[in-house]
Amino acid sequence: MPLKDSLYWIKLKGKHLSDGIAFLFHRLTGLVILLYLYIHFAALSQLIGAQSTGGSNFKNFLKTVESPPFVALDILLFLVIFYHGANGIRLVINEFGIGTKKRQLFFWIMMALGIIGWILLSYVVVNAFLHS
Amino acid sequence: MNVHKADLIILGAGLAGLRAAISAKETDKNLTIAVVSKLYFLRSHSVSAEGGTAAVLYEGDSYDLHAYDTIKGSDYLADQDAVERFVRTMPNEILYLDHWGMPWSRREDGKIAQRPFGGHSFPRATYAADRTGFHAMHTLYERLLTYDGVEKFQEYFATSIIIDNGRFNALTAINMKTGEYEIFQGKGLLIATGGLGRLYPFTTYSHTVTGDGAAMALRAGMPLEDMEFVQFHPTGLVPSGILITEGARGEGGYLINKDGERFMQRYAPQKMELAPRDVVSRSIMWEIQAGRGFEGPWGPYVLLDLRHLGDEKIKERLPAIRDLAIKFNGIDPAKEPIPVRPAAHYTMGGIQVDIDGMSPIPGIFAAGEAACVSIHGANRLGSNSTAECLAYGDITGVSAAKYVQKVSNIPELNMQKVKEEENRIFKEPFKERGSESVASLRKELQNTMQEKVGIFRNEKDLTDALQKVKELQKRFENVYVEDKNMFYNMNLITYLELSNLLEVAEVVILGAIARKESRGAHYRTDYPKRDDVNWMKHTIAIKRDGKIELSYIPVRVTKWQPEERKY
Amino acid sequence: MENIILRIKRGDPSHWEYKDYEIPIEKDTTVLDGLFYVRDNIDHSLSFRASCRMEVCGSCAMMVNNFPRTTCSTLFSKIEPAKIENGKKVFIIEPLQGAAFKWIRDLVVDFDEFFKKHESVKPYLIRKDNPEGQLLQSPKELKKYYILTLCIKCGACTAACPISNSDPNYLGPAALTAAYRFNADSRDQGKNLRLAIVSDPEGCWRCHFSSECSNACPKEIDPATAIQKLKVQSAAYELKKIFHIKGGE
Repeated sequence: MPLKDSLYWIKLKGKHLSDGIAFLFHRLTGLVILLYLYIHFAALSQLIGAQSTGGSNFKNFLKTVESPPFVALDILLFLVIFYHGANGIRLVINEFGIGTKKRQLFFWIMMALGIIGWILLSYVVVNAFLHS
Repeated sequence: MNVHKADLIILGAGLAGLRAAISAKETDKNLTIAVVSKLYFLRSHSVSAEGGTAAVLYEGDSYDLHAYDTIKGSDYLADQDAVERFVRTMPNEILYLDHWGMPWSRREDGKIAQRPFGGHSFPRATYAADRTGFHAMHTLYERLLTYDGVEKFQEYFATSIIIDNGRFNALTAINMKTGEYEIFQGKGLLIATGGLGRLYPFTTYSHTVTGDGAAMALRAGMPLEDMEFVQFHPTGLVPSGILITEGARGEGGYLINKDGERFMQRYAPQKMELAPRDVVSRSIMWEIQAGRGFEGPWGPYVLLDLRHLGDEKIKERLPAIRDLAIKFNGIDPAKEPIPVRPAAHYTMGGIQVDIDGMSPIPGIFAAGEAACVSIHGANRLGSNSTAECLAYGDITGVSAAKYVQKVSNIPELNMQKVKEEENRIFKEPFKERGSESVASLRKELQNTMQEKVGIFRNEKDLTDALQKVKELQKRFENVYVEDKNMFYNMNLITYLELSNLLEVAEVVILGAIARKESRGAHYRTDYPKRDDVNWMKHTIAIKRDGKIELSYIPVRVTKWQPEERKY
Repeated sequence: MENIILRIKRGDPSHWEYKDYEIPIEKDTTVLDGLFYVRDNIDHSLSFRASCRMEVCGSCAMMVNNFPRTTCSTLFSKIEPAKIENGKKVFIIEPLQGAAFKWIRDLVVDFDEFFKKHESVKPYLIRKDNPEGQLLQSPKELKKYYILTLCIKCGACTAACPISNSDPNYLGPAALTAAYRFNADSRDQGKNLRLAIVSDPEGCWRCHFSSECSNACPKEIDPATAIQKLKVQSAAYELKKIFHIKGGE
């Protein structure tokens, strides 16, 4: 029972942030991103038939999502994406056999880069929102 | 009741058992072999061996020298023709292991390295860091995987050897995982079950070494040879008894008493710490008796000082014992000396076999520590046991294979004895009786052996011990197995192991009482001298009609006449 | 000298419970010592595996406070208790976890599958020739793979690996480390035979570098690094096969 057995991932104590916990979050963030992908397609599907309706569906949709709560959710989403991306790059490099011995340090460097990227993107987005 | 048939049954999967399986397969690719062990093979006690494997490899060494060292080390009780065959077989064994992937430690020029060891007059202990037995076991196990027709029976506890019409009929066993009764039938049986060290409480042995093979052989009427010779390794870590290899002294370690002196000066001025083990063990005990030992919460001890070797050398040559000292005692050998005391370590005696490894019962062979060829006589030199397991595992595997090739069929199963054994192990132990427990009886047996049948023996202690063992055997009838769940029933297994220990303890003590001399590891304070006129012979013990009878056979001498054993 | 509680998982898959046993311990008492105390003095029916008691045979690996350890070398004084109840430290002892280990009874799990996976990667020296005499190997070449030979097959890595916990078909860190140990041995000539086996979705590629195996290994072998190095070899092997470059046969 793979699903039931996956609970062992949580049962194991003494996990290090750079190891078992990073592994767990990579999967959780991956699921969140997948879910977001469906939501994104659902949103873009508002564009279907935009030529005939004048794009009113989409315009209404944009009005809803260009609001503070949704922008906040977006920023959270960016955190998820940057975590998944930064950790993913770390994993790709590690799987070449590079940096596996100093994996804690490597993890925190990538996390730092990810946080910086997240802050920059959030700044740009919030800036654009405030000036719109 | 399952019956498993194979051409050759090998009982015990340590170095000797696995080596024999490989040799048997190399002799005849079509043989079917069943290797039976009460453990997963890689858990066998052979993995604890540390120091090295003796072999003549390089210039300056010679077969005669290795043989002479071994025979002198054995206090002239070894059978010299067997020793000569042994030393000539060894170099190839080192090469075989190399070809099979053993990570031997290397010299700068890429050749296999050797180091000095106790009792050897040339540094011929071939080593793999200080985990030689561990690496050899894994190498042999992995090599055995390359052969077809070898079936592994892991966690099958063998309980008896059935002999019918003077030949091997069957081996009865319990499948530990299911609790079922299983029978093994073959054209031949090779016993490689190791020693009987768990007779003693302070020992380097694993918990699982309980003399099962010797006890089964005894019950089947087979002869046991030289059982009174039990080797005490000088440096067992206090308080666990974990082995600190002789290699530590081989690399230059010192033994220090309370006054900070290297006391071996007094007992073996030439070889010092590298005298044979029986000499060093006795020396340590004499120092302790003279009041020059340290006192601790876990009993008296002396110190093994490795500080002067330096951190680098210890990490390179002795990494395992460094790890053990740190993990178990919180001591870094490069900074502090290690507390040690002699611990029961090896059984020179075993099932009597000839120079080809065959016992007096046709079709039953024995190899390794479980057998007594005898290579080690009254005392074994360090690095000679892993060597014996390889050399005689090889020789016995070949002779077993050749014997089995000539046998046309497996004999018919003796159902009556099978049923009797079933009753003995499945019905009797569960009958509710008195209130003694396996653990308390075992503890009493161990304490008796340590106090009265230890390094220093005398008539009174030995007779007291014999009486105590007989009493324990009687009290054993009050013990019963409380656990009725037959899946992996360790209650039953430990019960049967204790019954084996009680059987072999008696043989050890009887042999010790009868031998009125001191030779090798058997030292009697009432007969402190070696008596070559009356006692240059092997003790043979056979159980007939429930009583153990002792007889003697002469030592086979070829080149070397006994001389005074000084180091 | 103090008393502690061992909370041990007893029973088998059909029916189980956690039983508490109070035992006395000293500064250097190991978890295995504690288990022997329970079996010898309190409950004779406790089943567990133990042999060498010196961390070299691999029998005694169990979950101690939800982390796999070789109990013979785990001192109570060196690990944190799971909790404190009535002023006494509680340590939870369970059998090795995960889909890779079928639970038999009490603290005993089935190691047959574990050893079968090890066998499947051809974990022995393969040579195409059979030269006379020693196979030379410099100390430097030995050092390259030596630490990987220290694996005692205790199963701690496999119990810690999240993939092994939920996917019984994954070869597992122990088997993959054994494969790499031989690939890295300068005397070996069978690298491609092994790579053909481990270059599999359930072989080295099922590893996603959670590296809990390296955290759990009592010998500090770092199986995670060995598996990543194996991936590099495997990728090179597969590419060579695709482009028919020599070395990919």
